[in-house]
This record gives sequence, structure tokens and C-alpha cells, in this order.
Amino acid sequence: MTPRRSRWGAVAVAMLMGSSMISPSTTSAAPATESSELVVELPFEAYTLDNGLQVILHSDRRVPLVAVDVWYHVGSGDEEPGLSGFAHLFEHMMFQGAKHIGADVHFDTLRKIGGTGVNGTTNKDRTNYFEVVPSHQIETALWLESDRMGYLLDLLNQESLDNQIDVVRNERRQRYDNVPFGKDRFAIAAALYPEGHPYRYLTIGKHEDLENAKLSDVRDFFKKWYVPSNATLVLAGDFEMEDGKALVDKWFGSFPAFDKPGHTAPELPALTKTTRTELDDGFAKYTRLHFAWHSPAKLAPGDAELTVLGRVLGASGWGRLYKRLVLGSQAAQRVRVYQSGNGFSGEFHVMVDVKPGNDLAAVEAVVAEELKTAIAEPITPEELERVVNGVESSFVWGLEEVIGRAERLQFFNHYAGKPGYTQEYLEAFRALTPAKIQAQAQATLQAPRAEVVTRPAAAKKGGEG
Amino acid sequence: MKRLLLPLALLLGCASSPTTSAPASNGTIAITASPAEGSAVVWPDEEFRYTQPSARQPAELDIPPVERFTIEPGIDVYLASRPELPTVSLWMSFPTGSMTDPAGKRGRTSVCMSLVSQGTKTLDKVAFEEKQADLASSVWANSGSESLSTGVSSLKRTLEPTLDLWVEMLREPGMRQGDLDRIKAARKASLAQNKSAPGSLGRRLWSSVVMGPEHPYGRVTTEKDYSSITKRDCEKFLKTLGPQNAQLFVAGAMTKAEVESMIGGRLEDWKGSTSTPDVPPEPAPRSGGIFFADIPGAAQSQIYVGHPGPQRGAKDYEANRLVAAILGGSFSGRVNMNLREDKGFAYGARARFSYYKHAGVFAMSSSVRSDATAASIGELLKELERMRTEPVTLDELQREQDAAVASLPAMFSTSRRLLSTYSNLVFYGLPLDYYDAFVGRISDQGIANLRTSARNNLQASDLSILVVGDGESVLPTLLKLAQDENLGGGTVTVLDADGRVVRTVR
Repeated sequence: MTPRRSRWGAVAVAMLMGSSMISPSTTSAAPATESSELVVELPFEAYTLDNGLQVILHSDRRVPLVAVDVWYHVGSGDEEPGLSGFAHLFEHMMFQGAKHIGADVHFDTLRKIGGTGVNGTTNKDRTNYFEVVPSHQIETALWLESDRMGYLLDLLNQESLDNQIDVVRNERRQRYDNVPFGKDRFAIAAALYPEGHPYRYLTIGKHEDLENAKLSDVRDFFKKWYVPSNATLVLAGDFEMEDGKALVDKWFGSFPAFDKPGHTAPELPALTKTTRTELDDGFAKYTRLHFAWHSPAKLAPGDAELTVLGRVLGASGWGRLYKRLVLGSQAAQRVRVYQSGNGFSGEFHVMVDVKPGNDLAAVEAVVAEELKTAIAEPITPEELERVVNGVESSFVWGLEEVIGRAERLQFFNHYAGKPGYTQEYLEAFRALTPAKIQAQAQATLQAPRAEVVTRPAAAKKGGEG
Repeated sequence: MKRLLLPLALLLGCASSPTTSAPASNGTIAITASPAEGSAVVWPDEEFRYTQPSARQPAELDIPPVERFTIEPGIDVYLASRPELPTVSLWMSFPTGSMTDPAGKRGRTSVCMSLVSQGTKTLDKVAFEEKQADLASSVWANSGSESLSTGVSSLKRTLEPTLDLWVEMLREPGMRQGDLDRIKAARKASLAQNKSAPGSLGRRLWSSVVMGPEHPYGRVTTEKDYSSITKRDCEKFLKTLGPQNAQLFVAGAMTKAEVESMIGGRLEDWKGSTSTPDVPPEPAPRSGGIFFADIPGAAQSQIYVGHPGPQRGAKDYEANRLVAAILGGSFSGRVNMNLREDKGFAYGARARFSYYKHAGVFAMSSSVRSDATAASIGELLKELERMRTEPVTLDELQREQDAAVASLPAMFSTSRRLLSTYSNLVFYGLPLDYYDAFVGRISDQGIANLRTSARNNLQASDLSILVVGDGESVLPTLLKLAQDENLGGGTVTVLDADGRVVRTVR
């Protein structure tokens, strides 16, 4: 079956004006001028197969590598109560094998062909699977990705689910339970989100929910969320455009069409009052003061404003809180302030690690003062300019590798609804003003918040037996 | 431009093999439809899905050359010029490092390099950081055990002022007492934090166990060391650095002429060479038993099992590399498949040879569920013994040979990756045309070579074993394991968080 292609994306998009290019286009850029703005060009072609699979192709033939990157538009934010951690557990199952490729062959096969950066990740909104392969092996990557998209359930079995439940629980132990301040992350989420809200349990989930996951849950989840119409395939790198399209047609084009599953935004009541949770942490040697507010979703109005404000308050070296607490009083070991947008809503965080022997109340007073100032006064134009320069620069560095470009296209496609959002994204930062940032600070930071204070637990008696 | 055809192209092309047999009929299968559809939906079952697709014609392996030249005042330059890029990344390496830190002042080199990067005579910490942020550049300095680096990452459009800032830092660092005091306090605080969790404490102690606590590669830095480092120590240390045996690595939008004028021009009046450290003595590992550090309440134990290993320049390097790759160099490695995919003890497990300039280390490592600590060590030892005594399979050998060759293009795929690949060669004193014959050397290896390598370079006894975890639950099981003569003969040695022996448990 040859699917008809419905074009929903523009063809090559060239962006911004100026002197240099990221992308390998053979056309020459505008004449360079010293003061010109950066050119960021990330050309692509996008279309949708009849079965609803979105395809985005970025061809760059300089280096014989291709990044194959599949996003399924489902994450831990779509989990049902009692199944916390399931989206991520499911991601692990996607590496266990499928009908035609066989069991446990994914990593071996990619390793033999020189695949690098082979992995999958899950966040609240999406699950991605990616690999970079030598371009003459592009078809093997498509073979693997198409088989697990179409035929995962054929090889599904209890033994491999049991094993991956163990593995994921070990992952949780390694990354949350066995490190300092792991408890803080769960406590913040518990304070921000009500019982039943999927963000409450973090993407890693609860041990007891992971233990209870069943084969039927895997089947149901796959059938609901892992349909072609809920996925986006990006190829980025060394292939010829028409060839890339033919390969995508071959491996994905004959898949049947299913309705695209809908996401249900969970109810998120505003916090009615500031809550404070005090924790003891046996691994912690600092006292961590952690505030978090509800904030706008990723790329929603206000997201860029708070991203800038986070840098102004927390940037290492020159951020306001860094200057006062790390360099000035030196009561703090570290300061972090950041906006973290997710699909349904976001979080704005202020985190200070207070060194032993320092007065927490004095640190809190400084934080309170700086928050008050951020609400009462606009930031300076110099601060704004500094942050925007950094945003642009990181954007450019992020496009250095083909996988970075694939992920950028996926990110914009998922969160902005268009892969060619680059220009708008950067212009949104350029269009910010101190007044707009102040207005957003007022909207976000004057609301009640979650406060968590983690203190080092009194040293337990050594248990060497 | 150097080009070579991949001799293994054929091998790559043949890598495909049927994974399952095709169905008797070329029919279709149906799985239950999604709830949205309500009726059976047909999934295709084409013949081509049953076989791994053939590789296409591989591109010629194009190892982009680096330009090599010398600029005033005698700095060797390695340039991967990519004028079409909007970015420049460069760094200068000096052949010295923390292995020269005097007794009682471990950590000196690292602290002093950190002090250098705080600012300049005219720019204090905040002004220096603001300037970098305004330029959207980064100017940095760091140190390892036997090399120091300092460099910049910058957009081309802000390169000139970024270089000004970098050279000002190099030539006129601020060296303020207040910055030093703050760095020392911060190091002590993070040291205390690192001592309190299994992963970070394991990383802190492993070198001291496998190289020996007094060995230049194995010493740990303590709070007391940090306290004793003075501004004068740092000033003296800086005087031992000179550019004339330094190397400059440049990647991105600079030409040779630009390097000469923009960097040579800024550094030409800087004289002197860096004094290079003595070749260290043989490692003196703590071995022949289990060394344990206690983190009460740990949910997992951090485990290392290993011993000093061959050096990077060893004749059998390629065989060693393949041995380690099969044992635990990737997800497919035996220890990962065993501890993670088979037993469910861990999130991951690895084995590798790693290399100092004048020594090597073999290590298997994992973070495992506390109640599976002894069993995990048992499995690692089994895998080690199996590797030492039994031939690898042809499948394993070919997988890792293919991987080593087929992943070469990725090592040269960006100017920064290319340059790190070359800077590694320079660090170990290997020739710059090293990769020209690499494919041949890898494909020459056979099962017998790997067997010899494993026998010669993996130890059956005198292993160093470090476990960091919850003593109350883990120590009794370790004591049982230690009944083996090879694993301590009934005793486990308990270390404190600075690697000192606290006591021996029986």
C-alpha cells in the first residue's frame, strides 16, 4: 500500500537573517555583518501518512550518519491512578523484542551496525526512542523501529515483564532512593498535585504500582497509545529526500489507521495555601530549601518569561541569589532557579543548598527579598540581554549533532505543533521585555507555593555488623 | 584529505541475517483493534519484515585530517577547521596535573585551577561571569591527574572578545584570597556530601583501592588537605606552567591564519615550559579481599571488582579492548545481560579497561540491590573466570569487531568529536595516523587472540573488591563470601570515607 501523503508542514524553512549558518545548505547566506543576528536554519520536510504517522525529514549529507528518532505522544502524564511509573516501564518493554526482529536483539543489532546513542527516555508528555546509525544501515534502524511499533505484543511475556519491573525498580533505587535529596523530589510533587493527578508520583512511579503492573496493562497501553497516529518519526542526516520517503513508506506505510488517542488534562486545582514539608534525609549533608509554584505549560505564554527569570535569579556566577548566597554570605553551596514546563502545566523552582553551620532563616530571608524584588521591579535590560544571548547560543550548540537536530524538530512538533518553530521560539525570547517578565513573576510567584525543607538526618549508628 | 576504504565493508554488508523464519503463507495477522475502531484491524505481514535489511554501499571512511603547526611561543596546534560552522571550541593542554600535588596538599592543582578561572586582575568573579554570559561564551579551566586544560567555547561572532577574556585569565588571573577561601569551603562541603552516598563514595575510593592509597593515581583528598592549600601554593604552582610544551586544540570556525594571528598574537610573549611529572611507580593495590565502606540505610550497594591492567600503548590493546567490550562494554555485554536482564539485580553493569598515561585499570562495576550484593559479586567473579578460561563465541567477537569499526564515523562526526579523538591520541603518545590501520588491526583479531589477552590481562586472584553499602544488611553476606581464600579468607576490611582502614571484620 502506498499511502497518500498529506502535507501539513512547509518545505525547507530558512530562518532569521544574518551571517552564519548551522545548516549545510549550498545556497549562500546573506552577507555577513558584524552586528547581525544569528542565522539558525533547520530545514525539514514534514508530512503525514494515511495511517496518521507523522514524518519529519531533515537531510544533511556531510557526515555519513542518520539519526532515527521516534516520539510517541504519551508520557507519565497520561497514566491512570494505580499505574504510576507505567509509561516508563512500558518504554523498557519496547526493547525486549517484537515479532519479526525476535527477542532481545535491539541493542545487539544496533551495536553490530555501529549504532551510537541508542536509548529511550520517558517524561511526563512523551516517550522517545532513538539511535544514530551509519547511513548505509538506515534500513536496519527502520526495521527495528517499525517492528516494535507494529508487532510488540507478539513476543510479550510475563518473564520479561517481571524482569523489567525489577530493572526499573533498581533504576528507581539508583536514581532516587539511594542518593541525597531523592525524597525532596517526591515531596514537592506530592505538595503540588492532588491524589490521582499523574504528575504527583513522578515519571519513575511508586514501587508498589510498578510491582503490580500486569501483562494486560502492557497490552492495553500499547493498543491505546502506541498507534501510528500517535507517533512522529524523524530522520535526520545523510539520506536523499525521495529515498527517505520511500523507505518510510516501505516500513510504516502499510500499517493500519487507528484514531489518534486523546489526552485528558487532569484537573489541577490551584494551591489554596502555602504548605511546608520537613524531611530528614540520611544521605543529605546540606539543608535544602526548596520552593515550587504552579506555572505555565511548556511553550505556553509565560514559559519564556519564567525561563529568563530563573536565569536572572539563579545563574551560576551572576544570578541574583547566587551572588548573595553563594558569593556573598556563602551560606549556600548551590542555588538553582528554573522554570520547568510540561504538557499540561509547569513548575517554577527555587532551590538552595545551605551548607552546614549556616542559618536557614537568614537564607530564607534573602530568598524572600529577591522574590519580592522580582515581583516589585522589572529586571534590567542588561540581565535580559544576557539571558537571551545564552538561549540563542545554547540553541546553536544543540544543533551540532544530527541527534540534536532530530530532537529539536520533535520537541517543536510535540510542544508547539510545528517542527519549524525555531524562528518563533527565538523571536519569542527576543520580544521579551523586563515589564513582561515582571508581570509573569507577579502572576506566578504571588500564588501559594509548595515548600520542602530537607535536613541531614542525624547520623545513624554505623551498621557494620 | 585522507580517505580509506573500509576493508570490513563486506563484513558490514553481510551483517544481516534472518532472525525468524518467514511464515508458511505470506498472509496477514490480525490483532484486536483499538477501542476506537471496534472491529479487527489488519496488520501487514510482508516477507521483508522477517529479515534484517541488507546494508547499502557503505560510504568511504573519511577520517578528516587535522592541521598541525606550531605558533609562537612554541605551542603545538591541532586544528579541525570548519569555516562553515558558527562556533569555535578550543582548549590548551599542559602536561601536568594533580599527581604532582605534594603530601598534605592533595587537591592543590584542582583548587588552584579553579581559582584561576574565578576572574582576572581587573574583573572579579561576578564581572568575569557576567562578561562571559554577555558574550554567550564560556571560558574555563580544569584539571585531571596528569593533564590540565583551559579553553573557550564561543560563537564565531563573539570569538575575539572571548579570546581576550581567556588570555586575560591565563596571563593575569585574579588570584583573590576571598575566592580561594570560598572554593576551599565549597570543596569541603561537597566532599562531605560525596562521602554520604554509595555511588559518590565508591567513585571517591575506588582508585585508592585499585592503585593503592599512596600511589599518585590513587590518593584521596581530605578536608585537611583542602584546609592547608594557600594562595602562595597556587601562585607557585602557576609559575610551573608554561606554553612551550603545551598543545592547543581548535575545532570549528577558525583557519590556520586565524589561529596564528588571533591566538599566537595574543600569547607570543608568554615563555617557559611546564615541568612534567615523573613517571609514577608501579601500582600497589589493596587486593586479595573485600574492602567495605558503610552507608547505613543504603538501598543499593556500589560494587567494583578489578585490578591494575595493561597500558594504553600495549601491543595487545585491540584484543584487550574486544575482551572488555564482550565482558561489559555496552548493553549487550555479559555482565549487564547477567546482572540486569537475567537476574534483575541492577539497573546496569559495566566492565572496562581504562587508562592513565602510565598505568591501566581493569574494573567491573555496578550498583545493585542491597540484598543481592554478595550474589552480584559472585556473578561478576563467575563472568571474569569464564572470560579468562573459555573462548568467546564467534558471534560476540564479530559483534564487537563490527561495532568498533562501524562506529568510527561517529568518532569523527563533528569537529569537537574529531578533535577529542585526536587529543586522546596525543595524550597517550600515539601517532596521528593511528586510525588509518585501526580497521585492519581490529579485524585481525581472532578468538585465540582474545583468549590470550584474557589470560594475560585478567587476574584470577589478588583482585581488588570494593563494596559501599548498608553494613548492617550487607556485611554478614560479604563475610560468607569472604570464606573463600581468594576473597579474604574469612575477613572483610572496613574503610572509612577517606579510605583509611578502620578495622577488620571476621
